[in-house]
Amino acid sequence: MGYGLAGVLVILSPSLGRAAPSGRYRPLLPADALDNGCYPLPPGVSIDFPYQVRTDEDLYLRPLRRLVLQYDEVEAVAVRDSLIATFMRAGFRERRSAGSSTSIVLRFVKEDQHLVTITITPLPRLAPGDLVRGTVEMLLPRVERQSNDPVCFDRFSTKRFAAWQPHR
Amino acid sequence: MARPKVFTVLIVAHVVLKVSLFPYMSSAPLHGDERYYFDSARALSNLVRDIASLGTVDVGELQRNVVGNGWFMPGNGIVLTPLFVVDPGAGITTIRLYLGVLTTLLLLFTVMRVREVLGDLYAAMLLVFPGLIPMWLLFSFGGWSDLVAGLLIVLLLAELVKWTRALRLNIPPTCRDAVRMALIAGAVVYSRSSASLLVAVMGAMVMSFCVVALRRRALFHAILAGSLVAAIFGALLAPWSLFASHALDSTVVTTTSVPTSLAVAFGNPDELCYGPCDPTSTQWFTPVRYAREVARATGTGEVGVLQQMSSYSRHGTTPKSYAQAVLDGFSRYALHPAAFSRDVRSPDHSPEAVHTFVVATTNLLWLILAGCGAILLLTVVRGAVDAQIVSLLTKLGITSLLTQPFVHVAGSRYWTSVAPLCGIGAALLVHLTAARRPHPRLARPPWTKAEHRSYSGDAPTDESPLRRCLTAIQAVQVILAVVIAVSLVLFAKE
Repeated sequence: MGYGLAGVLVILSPSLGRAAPSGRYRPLLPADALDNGCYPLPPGVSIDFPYQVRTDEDLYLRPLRRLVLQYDEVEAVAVRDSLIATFMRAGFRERRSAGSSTSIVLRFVKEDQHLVTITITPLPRLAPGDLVRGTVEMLLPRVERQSNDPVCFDRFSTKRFAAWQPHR
Repeated sequence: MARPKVFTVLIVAHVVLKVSLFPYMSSAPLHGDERYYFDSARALSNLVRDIASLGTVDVGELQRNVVGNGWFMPGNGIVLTPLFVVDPGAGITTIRLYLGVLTTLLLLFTVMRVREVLGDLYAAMLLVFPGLIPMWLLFSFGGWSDLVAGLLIVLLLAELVKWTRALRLNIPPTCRDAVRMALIAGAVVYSRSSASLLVAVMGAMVMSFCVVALRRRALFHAILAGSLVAAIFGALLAPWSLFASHALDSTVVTTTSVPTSLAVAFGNPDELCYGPCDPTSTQWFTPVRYAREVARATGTGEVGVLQQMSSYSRHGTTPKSYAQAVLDGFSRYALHPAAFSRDVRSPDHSPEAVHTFVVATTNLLWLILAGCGAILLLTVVRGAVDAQIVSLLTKLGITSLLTQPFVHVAGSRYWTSVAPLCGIGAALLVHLTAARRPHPRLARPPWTKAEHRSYSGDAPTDESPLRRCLTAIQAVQVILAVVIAVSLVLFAKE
């Protein structure tokens, strides 16, 4: 009898409505910060290695944008070569690139006014199989928000946390 | 007092206390992981609807709500599904009422089963510990699966004791026994993946027992039965493992939470995402979001990324920091059993006096219960083989569950998984104490049962080698427990 009742309830269940799970216990995969149309890289510049943006902010006292991303699966030299290539293609000229034992510093300029500084730092203590390999910090010209799309107000997508009051 | 009267009084006391405590939590908003369990039940009820109407199954909804981040087994979601099949918009009070009724039925079923296998003393003890602990009763209205797992573990223990009794008479388990064992073991793992170790250890224990206790033909049958249990268990787990692996694009057997738990418990939070994780989110969600981003960038699965993140963040972990974190975990696990009572209050019906009662009574009863568990962990039972087996299995169960603070951030609701086992331990201690008296009423049937019911006329062969073996294993258990406890304290203080 119990089985019969259960069977009847199951057959009737579609007519009783549909439950509405919230799905809130699974963080959404946010749109990539450089691919969401909100705060793009300088025209013509693109990133050709696997990366994830960590933070993006406008510096308080300087008219610059500080973009920090991590590169995956490739080493610092490959990242350097890739970035030099993309900035040159976009019309920048390389200036006074330097480096230290722990990082590589690149400087680019366009039309003698837009100075870009890039610091590539491999992560210390990596295991050979680690996908994430290092950090790229870019000091770029500021850029205005390009769209009013809701994604441009999603801090997990834009990574512009500094502009927002922390809240859960 | 006559035995039936004892049971009536204890069951009435359990029900009265539970009903009295219901308003305290009846309309308490969902807390923490409860959200997951209720969402998974809602999604599963929609699956039932889709199948019943021969419609299209919303796979995305199932992946998002049932698998989610792969942190939890879906057992409690399955338990809640019938409610949402009937009432898709069930309110919080209905949900808590449903859970309250279901957990009391499960407790009573467990008590009946324990009464049948181990005797009245053990069954009555379960009705007190945990059946009368106020905070355990409040948790029984909650969506977490720790409490359900605790009761299922006792069902598993009863089943294993029954098996060992038959095996001692050289009677191998039947197919039916094997199916039942696999179903219970499956239910335990489906409700709480942290009990997987317990199931594996107990299964290995019984198979070793077969090798020691059985002769050729019976041993062959026992190995067949064991293989059948393993096969059915695997078949039960497979749908979940396959679906979770598919949803997360990684290999998932039960859950995925251990790497992040290790990192949060023992690692450096500022290095968890190879640097700090995104701010403005919890320590649990933000690493998952990051792992998904790395997985997208590299075309890999997020679970593998989480494992790498966990290892990286634990570079600086020293034996001292690890031992201190484990001890902190133990203190959260065992020293604040009623800490949740503040989080599960109905907005309007939770007077401070009830809160004080819940905290004070829970602390007292848990102190007694945990004390019994600790004493049992330090006791080598040398008398009857049956008591030795109960002791061995209970110790194995408790120690397996207590591995949690070694790999996980422990919380003050995990004790509900171990509490029923400690209740069995408490009954065993009473049984052993009673057995030393001139008139050991409590150590005899029906208070304590020690034989295979159907074959009680068939005396087992000489069991002294088995007894010595069981004594030796328990001695090793005790020594290991003491060594681990002392090492932890020494490392933490170093």
